[in-house]
Amino acid sequence: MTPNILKKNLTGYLFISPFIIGFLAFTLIPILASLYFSFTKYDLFSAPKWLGFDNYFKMFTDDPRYWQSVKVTVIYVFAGVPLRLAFALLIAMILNTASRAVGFYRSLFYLPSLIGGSVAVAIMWRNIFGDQGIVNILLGMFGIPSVRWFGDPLAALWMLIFLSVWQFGSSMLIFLAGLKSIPSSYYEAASVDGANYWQKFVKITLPMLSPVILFNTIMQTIGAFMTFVPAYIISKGTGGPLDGTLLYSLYLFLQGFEFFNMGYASAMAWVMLIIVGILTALIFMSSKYWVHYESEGGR
Amino acid sequence: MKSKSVKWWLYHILVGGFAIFMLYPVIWLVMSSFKQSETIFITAKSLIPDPWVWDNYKQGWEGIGGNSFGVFIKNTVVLVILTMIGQVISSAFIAFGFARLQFFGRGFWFAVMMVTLMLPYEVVMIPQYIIFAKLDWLNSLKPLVMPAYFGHPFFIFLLVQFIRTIPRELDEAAIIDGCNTFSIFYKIILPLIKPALATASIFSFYWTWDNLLGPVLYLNSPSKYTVSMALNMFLSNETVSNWGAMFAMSVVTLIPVFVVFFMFQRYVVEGISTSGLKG
Amino acid sequence: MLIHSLDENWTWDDYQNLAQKAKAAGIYIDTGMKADVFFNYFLRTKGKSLYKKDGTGLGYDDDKLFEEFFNMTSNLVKEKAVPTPDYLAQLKGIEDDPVVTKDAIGIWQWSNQFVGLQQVANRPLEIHNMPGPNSKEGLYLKPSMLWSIASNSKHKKEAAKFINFMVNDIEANKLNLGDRGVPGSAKVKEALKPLLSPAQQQVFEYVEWAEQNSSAFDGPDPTGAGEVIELLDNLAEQMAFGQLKVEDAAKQFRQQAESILSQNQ
Repeated sequence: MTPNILKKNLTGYLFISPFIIGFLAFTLIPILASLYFSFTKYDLFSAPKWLGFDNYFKMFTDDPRYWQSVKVTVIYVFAGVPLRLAFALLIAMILNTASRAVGFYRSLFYLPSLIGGSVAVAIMWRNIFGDQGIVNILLGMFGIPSVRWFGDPLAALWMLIFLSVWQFGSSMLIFLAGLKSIPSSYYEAASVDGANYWQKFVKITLPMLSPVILFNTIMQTIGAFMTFVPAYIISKGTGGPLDGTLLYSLYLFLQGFEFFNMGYASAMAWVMLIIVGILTALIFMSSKYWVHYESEGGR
Repeated sequence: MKSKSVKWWLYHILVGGFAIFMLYPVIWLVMSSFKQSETIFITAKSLIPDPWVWDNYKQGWEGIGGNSFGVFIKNTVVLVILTMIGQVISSAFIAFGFARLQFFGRGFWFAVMMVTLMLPYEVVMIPQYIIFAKLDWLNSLKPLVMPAYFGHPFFIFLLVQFIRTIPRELDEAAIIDGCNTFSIFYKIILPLIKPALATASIFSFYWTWDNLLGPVLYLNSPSKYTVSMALNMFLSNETVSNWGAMFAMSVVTLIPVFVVFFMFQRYVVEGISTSGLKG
Repeated sequence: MLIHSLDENWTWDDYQNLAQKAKAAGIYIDTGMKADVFFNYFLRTKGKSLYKKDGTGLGYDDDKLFEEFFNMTSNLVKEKAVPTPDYLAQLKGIEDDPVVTKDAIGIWQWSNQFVGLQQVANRPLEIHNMPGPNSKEGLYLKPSMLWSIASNSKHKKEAAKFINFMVNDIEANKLNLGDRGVPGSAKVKEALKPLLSPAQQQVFEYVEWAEQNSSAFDGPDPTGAGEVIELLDNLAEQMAFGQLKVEDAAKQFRQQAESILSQNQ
């Protein structure tokens, strides 16, 4: 190894050393421990009992609630994430003008995300979707009959999806930051060349924004898979009605901390990790085809 | 004098209208904080409180266990500032390494970092607690703050993506001018990702502000409680919850977050107007 | 139509009649019964129990008992004498329970929750005993809190002293005033009596009456009870929604509960 390459490696490791140290100190052991637990029966009070792959077998063959939670979570992710991203991008673009009011509007749109996973929000959300809540009143104004949000498992899940979409502010902010990083000279040059709005969007905005779109897609997907607090509060910890809101993380929590099947919960966590990991890797691999990095080659 | 065009009015009506629609739940929250606690849900349909009371704010401020709410706010501010500085700076540092530098094993460590993002917290929570107990860090801010200085995968990934949008020609120009790696980081890259840094700061601020699980695990004395913990204590599963006080204090604690956001979002907006490559 | 008082020896049939009358008057009878608690009571009145004494299985063999109890509860929902689960899911807490908003006649609760209820309802309420037949066999005094010391504790003596303090110390209990349950110690009860509000007195009197009119408590729930309870709640919800036939629920419950509890061998 030449001295130059050695120096390059050292510099690289120097910069990422904080992460490596933190990882080894705080994260590696808990991760390995949780992997170990997943092969045991562990109720948090007595010593773990080795079970081999039993937890995993039970999960896949003998637990209908598990599959229900998978189904619920898949709907939640694949309906919620695209909606959320679309909204976020739309509003970010609308707000990407230089008027003074924009800063104010931006803060307003961001407000729902700020009050985030707090208990107050979930409670308020339950109230709005009640039988006489404001949502049904609004629907009534358009001649649509009231929906029994709490009475139907699928409707209840949409309550959660709407809550997630309502908090699109964080994605919007990231898109805004991305939009602002696109040099306006590109747009000016395009105008000179006679491009219209749609062409500018497709040829400049989307490609330049693609690294950020990638980021948002991945992060929102991961986050959606791990959603817990809203489901817990809105369903009062039951995942109801009829397990309609039993998101994967909620079921995991119930297994680990209410039924004290920590081993089983750890197994669930590892399965989710693998699935989300594969999904993320797929998205990353696809990124070669649609993500464009300014730093790695020209337009 | 230029008169306001139809487009201007249309824009503001649509956007403003949508904003109000989006904010209805928040408005409801604020209005409810001025209603008498027991009547909040009974009068949920009407927004305007009748009568308008300030009791909830007075009661809520009294706090818990002899600690006024001001104590909780102070605790939270300390926690948040320490965490925010740690997370943003360390993540920027690490992100530069991943995004700009070549070294053996880079892909491996990047994958490791992404994997840590995907494991649910509930599962590593317990072994981590045991580690912190052995270090004797319980009932203090240390388990919450120390990890912040070792980077946070979300921010690292975010900043990596942003750094990769910066053309390498800038780096090369700097090297020709005699800069070493560190000054490339400090003088070239860092200023150019200001929007992303501001975004990361905003996220770090309010995630830490709202975080409940961490403080609940590691802060045991009421005098160290954070705002999120205090708000949670107004609620009860078996007896009557003090909704009024909880909503009132939620509003109070929302204000700093909103203010910080408002201050920082300017930096998110002030991106580069040119690509920096002239001539 | 007014109902002035309930007979002390009322039965489940009387209860269902009362529910019909409530429905006719346009209100609910109550908000339903917590499945595991009241099914257990019902089983006890028949000489059985929910769990086997050693916790390794269910304490009753005849699924007809399951069907009898849950047919009653599901019918009440079907006939709208008891609200549906989605109505219940929207309740925030005790303050909008129908009995407080005057939309129901009563509520099934543990006796020590009466004080909080009375406070919110803001009108005089009565405590009435459980329906029979055999309510004496069914009823039991359940400790609202089971103090325990970890077997691997390094401070067993100090922990025991603390428990002793909480249970027997008169000054401490004067601050508590039975909020977590009527004190077990007779001495403490006597010392607290003069300090009680009318609602608290009602609770103390009821518990005293219950002492004479109940039978032995079955002991703490076995390991895995959390899952069994959740299972039963789930099935009860499905039955209340009319999505599961009671006979099928009985079989499902037996099969899954036994499998959960058999791990306690």
